[in-house]
Amino acid sequence: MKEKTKVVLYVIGKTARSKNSIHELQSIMEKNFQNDYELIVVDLLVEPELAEEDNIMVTPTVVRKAPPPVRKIIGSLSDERSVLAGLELVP
Amino acid sequence: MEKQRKVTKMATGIKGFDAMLEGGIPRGRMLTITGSAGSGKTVFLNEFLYRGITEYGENGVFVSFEEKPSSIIENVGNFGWDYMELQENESLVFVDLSQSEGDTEEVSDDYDLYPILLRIQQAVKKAHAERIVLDSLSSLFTQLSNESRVRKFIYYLTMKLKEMGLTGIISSEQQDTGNNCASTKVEEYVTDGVIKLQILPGEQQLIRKMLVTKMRGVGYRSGYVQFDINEYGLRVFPKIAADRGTALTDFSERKCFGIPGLDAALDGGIPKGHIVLISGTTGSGKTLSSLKFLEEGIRTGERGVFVALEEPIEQIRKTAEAHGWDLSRHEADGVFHFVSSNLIDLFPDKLLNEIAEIVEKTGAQRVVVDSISSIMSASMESESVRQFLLQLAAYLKSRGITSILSYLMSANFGAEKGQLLSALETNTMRLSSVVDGVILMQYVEREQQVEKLLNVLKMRGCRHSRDIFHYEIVKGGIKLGERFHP
Repeated sequence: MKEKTKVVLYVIGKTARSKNSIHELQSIMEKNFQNDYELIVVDLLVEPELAEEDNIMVTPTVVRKAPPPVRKIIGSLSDERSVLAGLELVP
Repeated sequence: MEKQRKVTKMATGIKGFDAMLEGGIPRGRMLTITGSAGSGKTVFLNEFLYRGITEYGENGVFVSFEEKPSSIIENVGNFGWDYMELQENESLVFVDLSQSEGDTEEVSDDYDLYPILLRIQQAVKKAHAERIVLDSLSSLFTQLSNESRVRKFIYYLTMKLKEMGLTGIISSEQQDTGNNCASTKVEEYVTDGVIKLQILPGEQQLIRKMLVTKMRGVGYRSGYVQFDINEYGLRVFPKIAADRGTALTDFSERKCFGIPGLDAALDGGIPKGHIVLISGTTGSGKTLSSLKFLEEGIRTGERGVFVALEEPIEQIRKTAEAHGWDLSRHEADGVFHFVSSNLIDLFPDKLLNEIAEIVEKTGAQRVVVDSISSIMSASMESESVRQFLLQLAAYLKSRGITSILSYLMSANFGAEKGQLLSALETNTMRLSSVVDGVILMQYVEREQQVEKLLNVLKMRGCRHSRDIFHYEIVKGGIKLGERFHP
């Protein structure tokens, strides 16, 4: 059985930029994985200690937690193809 | 108008470095350290943190863009520093920003580096840190492609760190090619001081040099200084301080050799604080006279230092023993000390520091350097020999120490009448300007015989004898004889 795709998005603050990143990633995931994915959003202003765990340097960062291995992409998420390619996600 | 704040200094605790900066680095400021790979930047940063924590109770944060903390911990373990313990009691906190190869992809260069500041802030809070190091900016530039973002962020970050009251050092790798790389620009703008490290191949070991090019609000001695990294860490050899005008030659106090004829020729001995060159041919008794000078000092209650650059210490002990002087016993009594140095890669600054250190420690009144010629032949350019001598002379003079420098000159066989002086090497003449006195010991060939001749060529401020004397090497030193009649 195929493992459920799990991604974590790191943003900073409730800014327009953060909202935009959340929206962009949500649409990409929705379009390609329908309901078969899990998206967790971490606001580092609220939970700064979480930055250590995934070694976050910049926002936005997306970490693919499952399936393994861990993949990470940084930078704005406007281009669907490069996001999927960067995370090595095949719908 | 903003009130002008006086810069206070923070002693780093790095051996020799604070002395060079006359107290330390400016507190609450950010410095940059640059140098090629392997020049010792990371060791310097670790010294700064470790000394801060262990000697001054100033906790630290290590921000690493390059090495994993585990590897840093292992490396400093070689100096005997226990970073694990410091980490456990939270006096040292790492921010690990090193990236594993290839696990991150930049899908666009539009991002915000703020999380880095966030993580640093947490670490600073956790450690109650006063010191911070970042190693290295170059790695950060390698990790992120948007140079202008990174540059702006570094500017912002250093401002924030200063606001937080931290004192820090940021490392940046010096590129061999392209002098306008992004990281170089940043260090020039952002920081309050730049420390440049250099590494040069010596004959047998690496020669390390340090240059402080700007340090806002802090007085320091400029110019290259040497430093060394050994099993205990890093040590800087600053130019030794010669406080001007503290002690000058005292003509009323004379330092004798205990060689009656010679002391008489010197008008009662060498004036206290004089630096005298004994220039002589090989086997003429320079070392012997110098040892006799120290022996006489010890006999009259003055401690001595013998800087052995020519012969092995054991050899000198034997020579002394043959004349009835027990140097080992003097050493055990703490009245006599040797300083020796590896001549193949002679560090002039290191040697000066060693001499100064032992003089300060023992309160020595007489110093012998045997010999100056060996320093010259130790592949130092003549200008650095002159610099070395000037510094040594200034230092010894400032401490009121009477000293003898021996110099090996080439043989002067067959000198005709009146040629004894004119045949003097230009080197002796050149050295003469640095010293207060010159004593010549040389051979001349006379009617199938080699004769030993001594004369006092110069002795500032003294009515010394102008005569040339015969002398002999005897047990217990040298013995002056008749005046020489050519």
